[in-house]
Formats: sequence, C-alpha cells, structure tokens
Amino acid sequence: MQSRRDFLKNFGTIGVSSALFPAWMPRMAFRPPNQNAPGDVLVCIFLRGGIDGLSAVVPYGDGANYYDIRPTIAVPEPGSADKSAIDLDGYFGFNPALAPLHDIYSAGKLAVVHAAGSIDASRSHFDAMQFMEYGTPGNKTTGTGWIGRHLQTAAWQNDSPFRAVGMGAMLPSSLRGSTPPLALRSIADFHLKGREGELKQIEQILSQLYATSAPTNALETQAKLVFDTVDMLGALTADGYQPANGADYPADGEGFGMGLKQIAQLIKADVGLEVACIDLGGWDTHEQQGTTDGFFYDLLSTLGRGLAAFYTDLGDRMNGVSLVTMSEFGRRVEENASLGTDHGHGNFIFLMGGGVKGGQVFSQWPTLAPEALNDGDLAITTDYRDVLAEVVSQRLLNPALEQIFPNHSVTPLGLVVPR
Amino acid sequence: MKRRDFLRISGAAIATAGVANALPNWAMPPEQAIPADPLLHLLNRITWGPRPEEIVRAQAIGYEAYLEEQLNPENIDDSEMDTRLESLPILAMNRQTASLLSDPEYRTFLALTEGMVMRAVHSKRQLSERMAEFWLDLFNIPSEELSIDLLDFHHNVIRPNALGNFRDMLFGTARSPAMLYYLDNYLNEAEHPNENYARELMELHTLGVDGGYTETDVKEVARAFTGWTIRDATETGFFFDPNLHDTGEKFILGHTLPADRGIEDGLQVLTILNSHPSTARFICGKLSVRFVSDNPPPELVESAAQVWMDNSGEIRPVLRHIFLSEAFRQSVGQKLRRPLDFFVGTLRASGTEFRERYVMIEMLQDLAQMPYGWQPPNGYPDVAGAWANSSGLLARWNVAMTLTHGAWSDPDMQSLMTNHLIERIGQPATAGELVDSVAQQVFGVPLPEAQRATFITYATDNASADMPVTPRLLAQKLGSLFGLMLASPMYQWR
Repeated sequence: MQSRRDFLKNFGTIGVSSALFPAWMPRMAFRPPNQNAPGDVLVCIFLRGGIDGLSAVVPYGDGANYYDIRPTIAVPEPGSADKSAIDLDGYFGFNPALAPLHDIYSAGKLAVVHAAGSIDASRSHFDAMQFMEYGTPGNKTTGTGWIGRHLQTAAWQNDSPFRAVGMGAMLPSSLRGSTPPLALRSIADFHLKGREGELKQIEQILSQLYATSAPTNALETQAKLVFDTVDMLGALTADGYQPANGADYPADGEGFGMGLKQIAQLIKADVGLEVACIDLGGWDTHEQQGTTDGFFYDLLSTLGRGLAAFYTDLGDRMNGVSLVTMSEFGRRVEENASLGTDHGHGNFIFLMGGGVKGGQVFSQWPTLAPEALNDGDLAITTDYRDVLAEVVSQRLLNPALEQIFPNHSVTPLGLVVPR
Repeated sequence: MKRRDFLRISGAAIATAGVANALPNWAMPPEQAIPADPLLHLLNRITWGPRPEEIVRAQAIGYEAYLEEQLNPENIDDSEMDTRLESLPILAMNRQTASLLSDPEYRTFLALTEGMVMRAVHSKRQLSERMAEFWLDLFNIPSEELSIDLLDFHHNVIRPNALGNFRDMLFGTARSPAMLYYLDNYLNEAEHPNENYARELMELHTLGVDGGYTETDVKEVARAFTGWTIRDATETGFFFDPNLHDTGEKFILGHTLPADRGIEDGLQVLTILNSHPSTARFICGKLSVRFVSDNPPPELVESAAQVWMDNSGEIRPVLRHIFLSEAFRQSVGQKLRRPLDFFVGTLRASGTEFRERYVMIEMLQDLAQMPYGWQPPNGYPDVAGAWANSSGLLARWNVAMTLTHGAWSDPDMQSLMTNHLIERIGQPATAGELVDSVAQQVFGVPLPEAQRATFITYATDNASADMPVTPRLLAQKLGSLFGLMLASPMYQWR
C-alpha cells in the first residue's frame, strides 16, 4: 500500500533539479541594503483549510459540552490517557502534538488567543481567506492586504528586495500593496541556470527586454526584483546553512520546515527582511481527521516542531521577531458522521516572540454550551484584527491602524510589551 | 480496502496554499504584448500557442470558419494524436484494469500528466483540449492518490462533455467516484451529514459564492445527497444507498423536496442548480475570464449567460458568442499565459521532445502548475496577479532557456531532450532574416522594430542585420534566440 508520504517520496526521487542544471550564475559580492525599519520582523503563518482549533488548543474545561458533542475525536483531559491534552492553565490544553511548544509557552514567549477570528459569517474557504488577508471582513474588493498596507504606510524607507517575502510559488493576498513582495521557494535554486560565460549576456538581454532599469508595470517590477535578489542570494550559501542551538526543523512534504529555516536564515543575514509569510495547508479535515493519531496529529506536529525549531534557531534574535498564526475559520463543534468536522467559525491564534506576553491563554471564552454557539460553531469574542493591530503598532512601530484596518475601531488587548 | 486507506489522508489534504483569486485589475501594458490581427488573436486564445500550419489553415478559411472547425472537433481528423497516445496504454484502461497494474496510482498519475501535455502539444482539436483544461479547473480534483478515479473522471465525464451540455457534465461529476471521494460525499449519511460536497457544489461548480444560497441551503443540500456513495463492484463505481439517505422533507433555494424519497432528492438539486440563472452567470464569468480578460466587461458575461439560458446550457453557442464578441476582439495581449500555457507553448514553438520523462515533471514542478496538482477544490488561479511574481518568472526563464538553448547546444541536455530548431527556420541568409524567422515560430508575426533590434544586436554581437548567417552563428545563437524570445515579456502575454 502506498501512503501519501511514500507518494511524495517517490516524487522526491525524480526531482534532482540542482544536480541536473548546475549553478554557474556569477555572483556579486553581498551588499547590505538601505534598511531603516525600527521594529520587529513579522512572520505570518497562514494555516489554510480551516484548522480545528478545538483539537489544537483543547477546552477540556468545558467538560460535557466538549466531550459529548465530540464522542470519538476529542482530545482526552490532561493525564487521563496515553495521548491526552497538555495542561496550559487549568482549562485549556495543547494537543500532545504541540508538546515542542510547551517550553516556549512556559518561558512566556508564546501566547494563545482563543475564540478569535474574522467576524464575517462566511464559511467559504476562499471568501474567508480573502477577508482575513485583506484585513477587511465582509469586503472582498479591498484589493490590498493588511501587510501590504502596513508597508505602504510605514514612516521609514527600506529599498531591500527582501523587504517582504512570501515563501512559495504564489504570494498571499495579505502582501498585496505598493511594495512588491518577493516570492521565494528556495534560496539555493534562486538563480539563472545555464552555461558559465553565456549567463551574463543572457541576463543582460533579459534585463533589457524587461526594462528593469525603469520598470513601469507588474512583470517588469518582478523581473527587477529577480535580478536584485539573485545577486544578494548568491552571497548566502543555502545548502551549507546550519541552524543554531541544535534546532531541528521538520522535513515535511509541504516544505514548511524548509521555509521556516530559510526565513531564519534571511533574518540572520540582515538583508532587510521586514515581513515573511509562509503557509501550512491541509487543515480541511472533513473526514477521519485523526486528532491524536492520524493526519491532523501529524500535520499539527509539523506546525509545533517547525515553530519550536524556528524559536531555537533564532535564539536571542527572537527578541526582534513577532510571529503570528491564523486560519480562515475554525471547525464545527459537533463532529460529523465521517469522524471529521465541517466548516466552523472561531479559532485560536498563536503569538510568539521576545515581545509577547506569553504563558497565557487569552480569551473571553464564550464556552461550548449549546446556547453560546454561533450557528453550531465556536463564537468569536476577539477580533483577529485587534491582535494584529497590537503587533503592528507596539512591535512593528507603525501607528497607521486606520489605513491598515479600515473601518475598525481597535480594542487594546495587552498581549505584547511595547518595543 | 486499499483506497479507503489512501483517502483517510487525501480527503484531509486539501492544502490551500497561496490562493489568490478575485484579484484587482492589473493594467496591461500594450507595449509588452505583440500586436495581433483578429485572426492571430483568436488563434492565441483557442490554441495552446499557434503552430505555423494552424495559422495558414486559419488564414485560408477565415475567422468564423476556423472557429466553427474548432467548435466541432469530431470533424477534425486527429489520428496522428491517437497514434501518439498508444505510447501511453494506461490512458485507454478502465478503472478495473488500471487498478491491476503494479504501483497503479503512481503510474496512472504519470500517464495522466504526460497525456495532458502530449494532447495539448499535438492535438489538432486545440479548442477541445483547452476546454477540457477549463472543466478540470472548474471541477478540480487533485490526482494525489486518486489517479485511477481521476482517469475515469477525465475520460468518461470531462472529455466527452467538454463542448457538450453543462447538465451532462454536472450530473456526471456528481456521480463520479473521483468527486465522491475527493469531496467526501461517499461518507455522507443521514446521521450527521458531511457538508463538504454540498458547499463546493454550489460555491464552485454552479451558483458561485454570491449566487444566492445560504448556510441553511448548504445543510439542506448535504441532506439531499446523503446515501450517494461508492461501491467498487458496480460498473461505474456509483451507488445510491437508501439506508444512508435522509428521507425527511427538505427546503432548498425556495423549493420543497417532499419526504420519503431517495436518489430523486439529489437529482432534483442538480436540476435546480443546473437551470439556475446564477449558474449561467457564474460559468459564463469563468469562461470570460479564461478566454477574454481577467476583468471581463459585465455586459459580455451577461449576454453570454443569456445565450447559455436560451440554449439550455449548451457550451458551443456560448463559446461562439464570446469569440465573436467585441469585448474579445479588444482584448489582445490582456491575458498572462499561465505556467502550463507557457510550457506547452514553448514545446510547440521549439518542437522539444523529452527523452526522460522526469525532466518534464520537474519543469512542471518548478513552474508550479503540475497538471492535476492543485489541492483545493477551486482549481488553479486564472488571473495574472496570481502568477506574476519573481519565483514564477525566474522559473519561466530557466525552463525556456533549458528547453531551447540547452537542448540545442549542450550534449548533456541532448541525452534528456531533443529539438529540431534548425528545421523550423527555413534558410535565412542574414541575421535579420534569422531573427524574423525565429519570431515567426514563437509569435506568428514579426517583432516590433525595437525588440527586433535588441535580438539582432544579440545575435550578431553588435553587428548589423545584414550579417550573413553562418553555421557558427547558428551553433552559438539559434537556441538562445528561441529561448530569449520565449522568456521575453512579449511572450508572457497573449
């Protein structure tokens, strides 16, 4: 029998791209760019598909309201079973897959916000993602993302092509704005391929065709970004990067561990990175979700191990990093007939970093009592924009919240230490 | 048994990485697109990148006759394509036979991928192949561990109906094992229904997210499809299990579905959705984005929807309407080639063939548009904003240069792929003629003067267009001329 992992492994054996086309790109010496960002580096993780927050950060304190409605997929109370919740505060517990995060939580560098989310009622993946990434619940014609508007309104200059990076082949909508974000899949492979001696001329013609000296449109701007970036990445030896402090990134099929490692590398290289976005997908667990022993558990473990490795790798530099996770919605409180969960509403957010007031589950917990539910789903008592607004204003030091989250009056939460 | 185990994982694996839909307007700079007369414009959109013989054919019979020819693929002799496909015998297998192969899922996946590229490159029924791609996006199902069912889906649902009636397509998808698995309806039963299929059926396959349904409709439609499941032993794999069906009364989009029925509930839902005006508007909007522009004029979508309704969801009249519209005529250069468009177009222009299959798979991975590789149910994005980024652009450059320049002049590459560029360019006497001749293969027309001059400067190392073509010049520059034109911004727009 072939599992999905085997399938991906199969894929791996046929992919030998760096060996097949050797890198002969002439590389310029690394030059630090003009960069004046005064605040933290923001790392934004989008958990696509709608993660089951009730299985990640378990409200075991709800007792029968949780356990009766999820007779087969609930996470057992702390200490009650082999794989049971890891207690956080006497009411909530981590799924055991998140064990690697417990030390960070205890050290006060990781906070959980629960019953949070985007207040629009949509249970459509695609609308809910758009609303969340635009930062304007209910409005999908905004056209720019909340991070894009943050960069646009920031009072400082930063000419680095690495100012905003999306790890992957496509850029998230949250980055859309006047600062062109860099889409980066692999530092090691980000170069023109071909024969030494010809590449310089090829690059020159491409540069001329794309008018990169004075780009006037989207494609030309991206081409300029490629050339600017290739030179700088040449100075970073991606294959030889050694994470610090014994950090062990997960080698997952989605490339999440690899992506986080590269973000850490860019942060340490001081290339002007202000914002990095990375996705971890696969959370649309309508069937057989395997909360403590299956697909969900393994994927959650990838998340937990990835964040822990990132934290360990960065060491003291974590004092200048704010990391936030989000997902388009949570999942229905009641499990369905196929041992999975349908689309829901409220969810959790992780905040990690040196400036986070961690070690707490922050929540106006609405409970899972039947009368407290929102159309069968966990209600939202913390608008996710309030969490982000605090990070943006207190840690990234951009006060322009009216532009970043238009038509939203921000409620202070006190989740971070002002920088 | 086996399949249940796959699905335990894949149903959950709807990774929705990097979804960028409904993006704002991107102003298309006309100077970056190659000007095209109406006929070349039509060819650029209904083919995967026109071959010179297609241009000649279209010029001979004219715009409308060529369109009609492509709208009626059953009248086009495609026997050479059939002969080529004999190299992929898996594509001719049914579900039962394919599942007897060793490593069946993986080998079927490879055959599907290779078959898709091969058909796009070589079929004479180009519009039909483009429409198959359109429907595979609309009813997206990733191949991962579903390849055998997807083979069945592709050949028995998508291809036969690509230019047919939407009703047949919709009913076919609803009963296909691939869809029943992918969107979990095979597990949907009266006690605690699974809403996955019900929601995406309305949001992505018919009405569209703003098409006028509610969360209650989602729950009611899920009830209507309880019991629609799979039995591998049946001929098609589809099975309605009355014991799992919710027989209660249901209220859907203003209709009452009476109690005590069975499969009729789901069938009636499909009938309601099929004839709903939101469906006409939604699919015609998708067709207009695919074939006209990222933000098509609302009047075009509205008039196409009217044609759809007047013809009960027949696809051909709708396509005819779109391709004969003024909005289409004015949309020259407004679509960014998606990575697969780019890849297939590059293969068509250069005549490159792979000796090693993995090279092709690897390039599709680098370009980030592996056929049947999009995980979420909404299909690969169809707008420039989703694809015009640094990572994608660099991948295009590298693929273009490897397929042409590398395969032309590098002995190591030639063990992996071949091309016959020299046979495509005739007998150019001067560097200027050489550049024109390559441009003819890539763009179907000569280049505008400024770009032509850039390529002549490159080909001659700063000499003039009159420089004679020598074997040495061809050895050094022919491959890279093809590659650079395919990597140019002009080629990315069509």
